Amino acid sequence: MTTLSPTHPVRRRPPRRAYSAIPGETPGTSPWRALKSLILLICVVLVLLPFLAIISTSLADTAQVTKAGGYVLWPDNPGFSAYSALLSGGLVAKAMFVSVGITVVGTALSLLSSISLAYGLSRPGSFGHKPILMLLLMSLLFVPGVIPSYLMVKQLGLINSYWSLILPTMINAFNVIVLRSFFMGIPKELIDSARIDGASELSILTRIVLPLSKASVAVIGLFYAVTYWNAFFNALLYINDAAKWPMQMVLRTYVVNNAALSGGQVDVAAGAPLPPAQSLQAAILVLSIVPIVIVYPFLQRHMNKGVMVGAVKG
Amino acid sequence: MTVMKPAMSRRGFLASAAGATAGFTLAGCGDYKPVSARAANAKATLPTYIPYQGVPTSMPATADGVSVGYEHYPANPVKALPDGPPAKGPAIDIMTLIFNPVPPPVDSNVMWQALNKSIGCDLNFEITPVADYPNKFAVTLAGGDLPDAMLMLPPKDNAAATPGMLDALFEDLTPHLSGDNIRDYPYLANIPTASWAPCVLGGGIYGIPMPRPVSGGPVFTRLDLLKKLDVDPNPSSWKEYFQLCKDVTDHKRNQYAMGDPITAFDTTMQMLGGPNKWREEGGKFTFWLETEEAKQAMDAVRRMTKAGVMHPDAYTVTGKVKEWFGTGRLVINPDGAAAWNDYYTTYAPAAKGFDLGYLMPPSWDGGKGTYWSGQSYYGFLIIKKAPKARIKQILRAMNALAAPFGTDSYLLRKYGVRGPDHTMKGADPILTPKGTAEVTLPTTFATDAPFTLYYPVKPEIVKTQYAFQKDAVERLVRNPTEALYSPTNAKKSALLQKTLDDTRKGIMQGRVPLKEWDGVMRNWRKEAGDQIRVEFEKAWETRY
Repeated sequence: MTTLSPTHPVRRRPPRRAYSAIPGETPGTSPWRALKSLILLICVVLVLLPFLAIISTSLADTAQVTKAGGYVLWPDNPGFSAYSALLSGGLVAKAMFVSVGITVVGTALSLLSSISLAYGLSRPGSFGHKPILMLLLMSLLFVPGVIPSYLMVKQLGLINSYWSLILPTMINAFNVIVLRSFFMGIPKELIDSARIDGASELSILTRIVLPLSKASVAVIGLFYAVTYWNAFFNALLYINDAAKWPMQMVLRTYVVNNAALSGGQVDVAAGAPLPPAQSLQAAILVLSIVPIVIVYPFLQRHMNKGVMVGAVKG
Repeated sequence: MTVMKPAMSRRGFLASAAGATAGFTLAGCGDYKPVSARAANAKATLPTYIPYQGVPTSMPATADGVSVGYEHYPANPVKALPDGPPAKGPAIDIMTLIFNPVPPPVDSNVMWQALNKSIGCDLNFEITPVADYPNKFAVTLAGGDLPDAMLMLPPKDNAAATPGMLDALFEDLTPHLSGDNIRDYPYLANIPTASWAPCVLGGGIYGIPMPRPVSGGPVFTRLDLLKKLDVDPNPSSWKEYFQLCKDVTDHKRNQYAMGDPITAFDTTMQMLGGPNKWREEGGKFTFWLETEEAKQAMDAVRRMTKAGVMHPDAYTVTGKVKEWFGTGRLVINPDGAAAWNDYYTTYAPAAKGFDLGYLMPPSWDGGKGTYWSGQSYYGFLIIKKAPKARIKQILRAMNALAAPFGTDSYLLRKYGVRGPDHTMKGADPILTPKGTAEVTLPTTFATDAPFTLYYPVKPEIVKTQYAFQKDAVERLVRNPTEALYSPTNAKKSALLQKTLDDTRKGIMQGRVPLKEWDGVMRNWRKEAGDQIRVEFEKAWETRY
């Protein structure tokens, strides 16, 4: 009985190289890797430390904040007095509801209008293409001042209406230009073939263009959402009834209060003191960033792709 | 081959853009007629001062500006509105500002509901955070859709507040309030004359003041820390004051004498007998920063900085001084009158033995120093032009909001409704957490009773507060321009002052040599200073 030797060559493992997790990174020696890890660890700590300080301060009691004379790194007796001071009376809770509503409705309308406009402007020869593009670019160059904007909103009868927080900022020219440049990069042949198959412009937009543009749309959506969430100035100008204020505006009164106390103008009767200013401010920061922190992980994948759009397109 | 014409030529585009921009800009400007300094400062008969004497006290208000003081609230508050709600009628929209967190809305605010009921109409407060108020004021004026009444900050802080604008849009209240006419509104008559004087612009009374004590706020000291260090808290000259600052400074314990170079400068100026913003001598005006005293004060603060008695962040961080003082990082801190109670409320619960004193600035070489008066009003409430009956209704409502200490109306405004908003400690109301939130309704920034010394949590401090005010008014240096209007000052002083403050801080920090100050003042005079001076001199001549 003969033993057949294998006809195929034996695969040999390449010699083991130092492991590198980052593509393109040159392998290094152990001490060097340890040093790099240490540097990275320090960077991570430096990034996380302010977050920890803010969360800890928001939970710290008056005695500890007073003793520390500012921010604390770890609360000795954690409590929620700053959060209950902010959320008592239902005003912040209502303002949060208003903010969420404005952000959701505003972002949806902004995306709808920006996508429609950007798609129209990305198709050469569309109706009024050049004048509309010119008008759009003009809005980047000439920003209306506060008073003209106020007069416009007033003429439209939107004072004290939630629409005044959405309509004036519904279309951001920069975002439209970014979307337009992405749409223009979609191969013309794809759109032509869809058209030959009898697809309408709306079908082309919804079935061809948008599925290919998820990353850009996600990024622009996030930009709009963050803008609506953080906006307070329009509420300051257009909303006279404090009960209709969005959260950023209500929270601002706590921040302004702290700054203004040094003027000695507050004529408040004695009673239960508010939690320390730092705790309130820290709690305000936490409350303000929570929704964005919740939403961001779901969009991160698209965000990473989307932010490259502007980087590689001319 | 056809050449496509552009939809719009380059020139056409630029012309349209320029036109649109000009249109927007003009739309934002009010075209109120300019008023000369003389006309703007024309006289009007001020309201007669009729002090309220319904609630007896051992610490009465005085004509020279000491505020009334009470250790306890009367067990049976006086009924302020015995004839029932005084301002029945349509709702009154009031646009004003707030320093505190915004109060709960009226439907969930029992204090606000009770206030509306007691006055007889709905008071709709349109509230804006203090830092944003000038913007809101300007756009509301430009929009033309005015509320019934709105707070107007003094013209020096508010370029939009011009006599022409007042004349065009707001009611001249002279027929209602001047002289004895104010007897129809007894609680407004209880507001001291000094607070009414700045409400006169263009020969008419255009507003109701939000009164503040003329004695201003003290130079606070942390008495508990001074006692621990066993140092004399009352220096009798600048030299002793400087030594005190050195004695209380302990870098190892992160403790410093002072934390704000501007207030340190002001304190030194008072020791030198320097002018309170302007000095008037025989109708001639001198700006405080162009005096020799100013240069000497800058040099003194520079020496303090060099000696290390100022907080290390004194020149770089703003808005933290109150907190540094409350937490014991600073031992001396000048602050507003209302801060006295605030400090105890905010910091005493967490700091064992927390105690406040005050330091009267001594004279530079020894003896009694001077003391600068505070601004006698915060701002004033202007009322939109309306039929006479409506104006009277609004004035009656404001009269109710000025009901003084000891009345049931004052109790409601400051402490809300008994039960939900406050509990009683003897005769004194103590706010509940709900009450603390509800009473931030900014009635005090519509109008208010004269400042009252009262602190139910620690009644014994009222005597000290009263003693301070008595001492302060005896050595008071007033600002002669407080009630005068200068168009150039209104337009340019804020910007110019910023430049002056930057250099002033540079000198006090030791970055800029003192000899540069003369050049800075020459520029100031050329830019606007001399014009402001002429306008104030004309205004003084017209008014006094």
